[in-house]
Amino acid sequence: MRISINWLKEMVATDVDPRGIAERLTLAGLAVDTIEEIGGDTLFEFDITSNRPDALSHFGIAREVAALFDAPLAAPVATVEESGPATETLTSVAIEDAELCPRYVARVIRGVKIGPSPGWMVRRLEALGQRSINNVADVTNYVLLEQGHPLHAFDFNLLGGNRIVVRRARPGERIVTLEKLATGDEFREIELRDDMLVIADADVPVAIAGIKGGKGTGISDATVDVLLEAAYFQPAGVRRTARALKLDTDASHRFERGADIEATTRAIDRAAALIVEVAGGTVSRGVVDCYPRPAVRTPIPLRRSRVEALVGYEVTFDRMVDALRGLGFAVEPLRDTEELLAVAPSYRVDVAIEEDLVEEVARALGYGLVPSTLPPWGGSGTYLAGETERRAVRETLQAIGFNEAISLSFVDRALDDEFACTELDRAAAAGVDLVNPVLDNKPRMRSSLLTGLVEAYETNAKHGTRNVRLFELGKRFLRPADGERPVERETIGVLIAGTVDDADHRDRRDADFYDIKGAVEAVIRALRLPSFTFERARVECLHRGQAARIVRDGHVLGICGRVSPELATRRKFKSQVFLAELALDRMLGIEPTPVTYRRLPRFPSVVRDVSILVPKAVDYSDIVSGVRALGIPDLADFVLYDIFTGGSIPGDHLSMTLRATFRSEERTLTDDEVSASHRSIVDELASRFGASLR
Amino acid sequence: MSTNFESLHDQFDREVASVSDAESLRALRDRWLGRKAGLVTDVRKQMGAVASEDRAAFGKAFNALQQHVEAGLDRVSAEIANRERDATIARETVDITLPGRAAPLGHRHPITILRQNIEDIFVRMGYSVEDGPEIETTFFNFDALNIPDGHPARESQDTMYVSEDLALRSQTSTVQIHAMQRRQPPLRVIAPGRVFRRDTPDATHNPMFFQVEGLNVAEGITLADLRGTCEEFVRQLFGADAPVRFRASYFPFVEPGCEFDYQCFVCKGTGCRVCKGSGWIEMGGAGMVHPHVLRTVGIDPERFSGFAFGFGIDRLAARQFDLDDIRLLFANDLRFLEQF
Ligand SMILES: [Zn+2]
Repeated sequence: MRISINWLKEMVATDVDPRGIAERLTLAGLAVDTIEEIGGDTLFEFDITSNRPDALSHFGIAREVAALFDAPLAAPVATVEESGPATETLTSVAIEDAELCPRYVARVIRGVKIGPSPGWMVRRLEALGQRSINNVADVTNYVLLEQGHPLHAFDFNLLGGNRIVVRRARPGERIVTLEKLATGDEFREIELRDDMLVIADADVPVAIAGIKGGKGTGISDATVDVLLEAAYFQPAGVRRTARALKLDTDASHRFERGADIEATTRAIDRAAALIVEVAGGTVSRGVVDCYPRPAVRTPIPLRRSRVEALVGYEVTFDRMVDALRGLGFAVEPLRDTEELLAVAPSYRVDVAIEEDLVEEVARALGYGLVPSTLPPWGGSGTYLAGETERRAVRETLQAIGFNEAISLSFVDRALDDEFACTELDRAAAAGVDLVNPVLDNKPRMRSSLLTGLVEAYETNAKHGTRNVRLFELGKRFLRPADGERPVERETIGVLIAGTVDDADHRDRRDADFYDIKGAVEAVIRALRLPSFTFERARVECLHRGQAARIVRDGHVLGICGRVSPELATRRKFKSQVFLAELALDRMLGIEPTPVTYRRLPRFPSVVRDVSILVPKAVDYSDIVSGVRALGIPDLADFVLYDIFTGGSIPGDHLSMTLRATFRSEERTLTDDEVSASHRSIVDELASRFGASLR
Repeated sequence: MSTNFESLHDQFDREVASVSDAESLRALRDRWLGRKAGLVTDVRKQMGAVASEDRAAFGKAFNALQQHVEAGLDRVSAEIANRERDATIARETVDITLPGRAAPLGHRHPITILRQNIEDIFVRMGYSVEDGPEIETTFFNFDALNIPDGHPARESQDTMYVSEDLALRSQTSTVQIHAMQRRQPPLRVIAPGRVFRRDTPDATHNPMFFQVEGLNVAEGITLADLRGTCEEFVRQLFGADAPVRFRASYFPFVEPGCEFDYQCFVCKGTGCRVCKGSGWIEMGGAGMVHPHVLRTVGIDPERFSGFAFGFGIDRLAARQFDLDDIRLLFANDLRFLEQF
């Protein structure tokens, strides 16, 4: 909202310069966003919070300035010269729904001459961003800017029966309004619902109450007699109708926040006087003031002790009383108990309880008076459960070259469906869609962290970044099959693409399955998870020969593997992409392996390597478990040392060097003992796995 | 038979001068000092044939020759060893300006860097970190926070819904309610996390951002405690003192309510480019917990009072790292992420 300082100063006398006014208002809660000097005037652009509709006008701001600077306030004067017949003989107002319209005030001005507004008015309107229409319409806009109360002017002679009925729309009723669009004005026919309040004449709706006037009864060049409306409409009703019709007007903006029910007569008098001034005509005698339920404002008690308990400094009783009176409250002080009763002015619709009054006192005295103290220390705080583990995961992945991603929680639906993984969430596979997404192409709450990471891979590839190592910690969202509330699962996503050891100037190679598996193992080690296994898995989005699930106690903790060739082709990936998704919430629920110390070996160990040719179809894990099953007592360790394919190795075989470490806790092993054990290993490998010694 | 020691000296000097490597040195050593056929050994064998009166002189000359040969051989041996060491070192010399080798370190996201910092500060100050769902019921997201039906914040223009009564949380203040439902005062809680607003992305807006909510409810908590806490937080976060000021403002779940700013470190409040001339930098919203909110969770507002505050981590990050476009925060562009 824009305010002209020149106009403001017609209502409040202060010597303070515009910057000083702006700063004080801002500190008191009426935030001045920008200050602009134009043609001898200064314009403030305000950002008024929704609780302060009283400040949406020059007079509203002037009231606040007067209170904050203790300056004299001059309300805009209106001397209405009335003549001719009494207004109530010309027209009548009937309110059928006093809930939605507690007050409706009307005046009739006859014999006006519609034409352009005088220069001073046009300039003032235009400086504040309002286009001049004609003298009568301009007056209603002018009074809105001046006093904040929305008015409407009807062509009196076009009102059927020359009367006003405030009622709900009847089923099927329609109204045509004028829409101001960027592309020009356009008529719009609106179908009304029966919960919408309208202003009607004897027959049909002529305005949507508090929002917009109809086309048929508006002011035109042919208008001679004018019926002016100044009403109060219930905020919730106006809001409901405005939202339903997708209308947002200056009038609805104010009514839905709360207009000043007592300002109706002041505003209509001011407008009537101005119409006579700029368009001629005579104002009929008296107003029709239909006010079936006068508003009652209840006194609110305020204790001095309550003020001090909330603001944290001493406030004298007199200062409280003065502060509230300065802001227009009617105050009844009860000095013995240092309490007071305050009645808020009709325009302060936001003040309802004692704490609201505390804020008023604090605002008036200035928030700068609040001292700075620290509440007494109440002992140490705590991190979120699992935070140590989360940090360990981040540090571990970071240490092996992964950058942390944070993706938007909403994603492309089709892409998200690609990663819907039944391995991880058998029961809850449906995605959660937004009713009103902000980005049309991202209407889905991600059901997988892989969706965002794959988008990130594609973005980076587009920028020429080929080597991508990313991880993200965050929630994914799933709708359980039973239609219950969506569930949120804390998850780790990992992505690798491109070459590995890229910083090394000697050696680089393309990433493969074992890089993503290594990342998963690093996470598991960081979390010190006991006894998990990798099993071959079928995962829709992953390569059938390069996909694994991570299992512990029959529960799937995650999946990893290479993106399936079909998906990679469809998405036009430029390189192989490897993914892992880990159920962090489940992992955090597992008791980690305790840290224990094992004595260092007292006797030397003997290392023997076994180099074999094995068919590719044999799994390494089977070889290890087969050898373990031999139960060789002094076999301390049996692991892969080296693997080799190609060259002289047959295509369906690979060469594997396995390293056996023998050690006894009681004595030094003899060469014969080690050789015997070694032989039984070789025999087992040959007989069970068709391995031949190299 | 007489021995010409002088010519032997000369001969050795000539021969030793032509030695170039360990092999020819070994041959030379054998030729002169060889136990069976070495030239020096030959001379010693002649000792017996020398007349007794000449024997002393002969012995002296022999010793001189032997020392001369040994010294010469040792000298050349040392020279050759030096040369070989130098050659090895030359061979093994590397370009120490080539990059070092280690798996390249990854980077924490700037939001995480700040978030962990913030959590550490508040945990030191006695706060517990808590969390709540990101898809919230309208009760937690609005009703319990005193945001009534019809309030603009509830509208689908501002808030994203997944159903009639479930919305993406539009502020981490929801966690206040969960925390107060779980425990009675005194309680100190911070809740960092994702929040969602229906803002179209541009250089200064994202439809998702990270917020930190703080809550301190106990007997006798005041606005002054809020100010002191904000100042202590700013001091610990930036490592320097800066006054905090309050501006009156409106958030339905606090009363009195305010926004809080800290004084610009660059200009100390006189106004500069960083603070856009105001001398102050906007931090977030705050206030005293609204009595309706306290009553909703069964806390007696006459006995307990509390302050709450909230601020955006993204905005802090934007300021701290001087980001010109906060959309970068969630674009996952490695050229961006690798800078932190
Ligand atoms: Zn500054």
